[in-house]
Amino acid sequence: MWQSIRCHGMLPARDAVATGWIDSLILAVAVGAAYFLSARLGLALLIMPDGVAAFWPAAGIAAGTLIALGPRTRWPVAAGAIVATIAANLLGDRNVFSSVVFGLCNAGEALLAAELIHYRFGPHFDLDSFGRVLGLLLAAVLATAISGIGGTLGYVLFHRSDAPVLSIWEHWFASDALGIIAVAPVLIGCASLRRHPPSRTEFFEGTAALLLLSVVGAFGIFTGRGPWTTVVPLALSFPVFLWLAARCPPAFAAAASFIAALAIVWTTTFGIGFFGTLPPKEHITGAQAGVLSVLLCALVLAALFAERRQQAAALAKSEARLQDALTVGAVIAFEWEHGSGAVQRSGNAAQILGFDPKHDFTAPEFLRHVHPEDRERFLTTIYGVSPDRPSYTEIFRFVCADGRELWLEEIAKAEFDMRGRKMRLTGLTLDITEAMRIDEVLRSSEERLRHALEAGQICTWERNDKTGIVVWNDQYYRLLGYEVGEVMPGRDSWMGRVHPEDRETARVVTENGERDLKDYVSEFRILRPDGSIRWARACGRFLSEAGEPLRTIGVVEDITEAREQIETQRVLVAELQHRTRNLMAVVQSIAHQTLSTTASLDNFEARFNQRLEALSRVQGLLSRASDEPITIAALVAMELEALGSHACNGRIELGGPVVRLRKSTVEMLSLAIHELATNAIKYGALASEAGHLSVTWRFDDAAHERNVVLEWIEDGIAALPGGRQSARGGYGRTLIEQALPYSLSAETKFELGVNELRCVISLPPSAINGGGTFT
Amino acid sequence: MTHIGKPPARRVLVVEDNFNIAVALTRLLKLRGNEVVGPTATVSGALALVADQPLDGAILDINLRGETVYPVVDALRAKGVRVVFMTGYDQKSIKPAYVDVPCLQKPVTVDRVLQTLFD
Repeated sequence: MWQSIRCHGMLPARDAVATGWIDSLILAVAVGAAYFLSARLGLALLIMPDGVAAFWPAAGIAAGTLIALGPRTRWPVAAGAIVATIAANLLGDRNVFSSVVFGLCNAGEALLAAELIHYRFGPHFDLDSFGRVLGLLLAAVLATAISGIGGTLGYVLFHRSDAPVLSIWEHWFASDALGIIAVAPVLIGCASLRRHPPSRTEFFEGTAALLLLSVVGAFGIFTGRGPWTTVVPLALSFPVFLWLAARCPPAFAAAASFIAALAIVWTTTFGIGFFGTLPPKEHITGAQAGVLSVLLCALVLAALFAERRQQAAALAKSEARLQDALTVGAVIAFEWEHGSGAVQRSGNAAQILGFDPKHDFTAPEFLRHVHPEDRERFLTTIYGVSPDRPSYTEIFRFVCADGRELWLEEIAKAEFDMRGRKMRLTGLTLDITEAMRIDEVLRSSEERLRHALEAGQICTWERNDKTGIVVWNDQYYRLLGYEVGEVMPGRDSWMGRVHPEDRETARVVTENGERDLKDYVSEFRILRPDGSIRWARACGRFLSEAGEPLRTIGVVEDITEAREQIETQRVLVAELQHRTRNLMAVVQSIAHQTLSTTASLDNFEARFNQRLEALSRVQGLLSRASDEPITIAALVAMELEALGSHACNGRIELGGPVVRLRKSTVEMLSLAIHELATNAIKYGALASEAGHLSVTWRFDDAAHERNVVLEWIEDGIAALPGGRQSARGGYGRTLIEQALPYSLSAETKFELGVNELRCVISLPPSAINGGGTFT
Repeated sequence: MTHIGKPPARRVLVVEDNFNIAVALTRLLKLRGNEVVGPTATVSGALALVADQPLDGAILDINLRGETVYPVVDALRAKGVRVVFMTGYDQKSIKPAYVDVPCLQKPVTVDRVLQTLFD
């Protein structure tokens, strides 16, 4: 019998196959053969007075195969069961009709039991939990109770049994249910073993236990009658069952209970031992009860142990998963018992905090490693927990034994006893060093950028194109003449401060950039409420994703100073150019004048050079004019000194108020003074020891205008040979009498006596005071 | 130098605030057979001359003691008199309405001025 079961145990090797008809046929034949053999066995054990077998293992073959292999094998199995039942019955004393009825009942019973199991538990049924063992028991009871009705009808109608109908049903029910409960677990177990192969230890232990149990069974069967033959095997088999249930998969316990059931049936049938000594009717019921109790005990025990093993495995797995998660996330889980001070930490703590895992890392030790600057705050937080505020979150630095500094974030919750005393603290410690570092880098980079922008007085703005929200920095508010936060930043508040003349251009440049999503640069004036105007240069960039604008960012720079400088420079260059060209023209005309008033080339060269020098001195004065305004005193003194008048000290008198000259006046007046001085030294008051020169000037308020009157008076002029009169005419006189009135609208007098010269130059206000235009 | 076929003397207005330049220019213009009207150093003086005198051409400095000569140009244009600027400034600094007036940079020869004015 055992051999036949082993043979079926091989069937799952083809597993859930039976798709092709050949497989189905083979399965049908195999089930049929096994069913037939066990049916013959069952019929051989036919001891009931009503002809019903006491134990029908064939029922377990069919139901077990179906449950183990799944619903797809139902028709080959059913066919095998029907054919085998009919064949086995016909070989006995049954007629054809009853055999057919029994075959159908047996097949239906197996199908019903298997369907119920599949319906309730799904595929891959295993006896690894109490619920499933109970499920199999109930399915077997229900299926056999129903098939028993059919079987009883078969007996009554075709077998002409004299036994009471209820008794027939009861016997059918008991023997089939027992058959299913005894045999199906073995087949189910075999299928399960194939899905989850046992470890080597389990296999050897299980096999050894089964062999031991077989020996005990055989001892019971073959050592003859007597009370010992029952008691001894039972006593011996119990530890074996316990061993199998505790240490091996349920399949081994199922096999063991099958062996035990077979032994009981055997001894009962052949009147061996305890069951053989009972009265005829009772010994069958007793045997069935015995078989049932052995089976249930073994299966339930095995299932309970299997459940426990599963739970332990699941727990270990989840613990490992948690440990992995904690390590990956750099999170330490801890529990601190307040009373004992003992700390439990997750396995990754040693690695993260850098202590020796073999060494106990106590709470005080942990606190010692907290950064000194953070320690007090940390302690305050920890000891500050109360039943009202049991939890805390704290960020602190932790100094590892090797000197590394970590940033830790601790989230913990305290538990309190009934009297509000702290019992324990449980929580998580996160290593946030990396996050803090990145945060720090970002913050300092942002800080740097902000400082740079502020130092450079650069304004920034940013618009979120999805929400339309615009952000300005403080600098931008100020540039536009707003108080910081005075207005909602946006296009309108910006445009409102752009100079009306520049609005259109600024708008077009911005909109073109927006349309093409291209960087743009635009320069415009800002008109502030106080009327001041600033020049701004704005650069913008549009950030988009797949053609959709996301953000617009830009910087705006105040370029007023730069523009003013450029403008000043432009004016200066133009002025320089103007002055140079004018000077050339003046040189050109002086050359003409000198040529027309000198007789010889030598004379020309001397006079021309002197005049050029005077012109050059004036240019020197003019170039410094913005720093030191040119006064009449400076002009006169410069000309006299340049011509060597220091030799005549004491004979020259200069005097007058400070009168600043316009730049346009300086050139012409200095040329006139130059001519007067030259002539004074050459022919006039300074040419002889006796002469005296007085140059004075004063404001004359007599006229309706405030003129400046300059008087140049020479006296004591010695008579010189060669006719001075004509020598003192010429260019100098022309300058005074014609050029000054022409160029400066001055009124002049030039009176030359025998030994004196009186020259009066009256300058109008337009010639003095300085400032004004450049020319 | 022959004067056969010589055209009648042209009357040229000189407006220049620098006396030396004005004198030299006047002398040179006369040497080449022109009649000089002026010279004058102010806008008001120039306007008075434009109003009174018949003119064939005018040589104008742009900046006259801080005033610009443009009102004189307007008066001359109204009379259909040819005008040339003679200035130390760049052409760029001339007011846009007067950029069509020929502009010569100082220093310049009087022949060049006459050529620009009448050819």
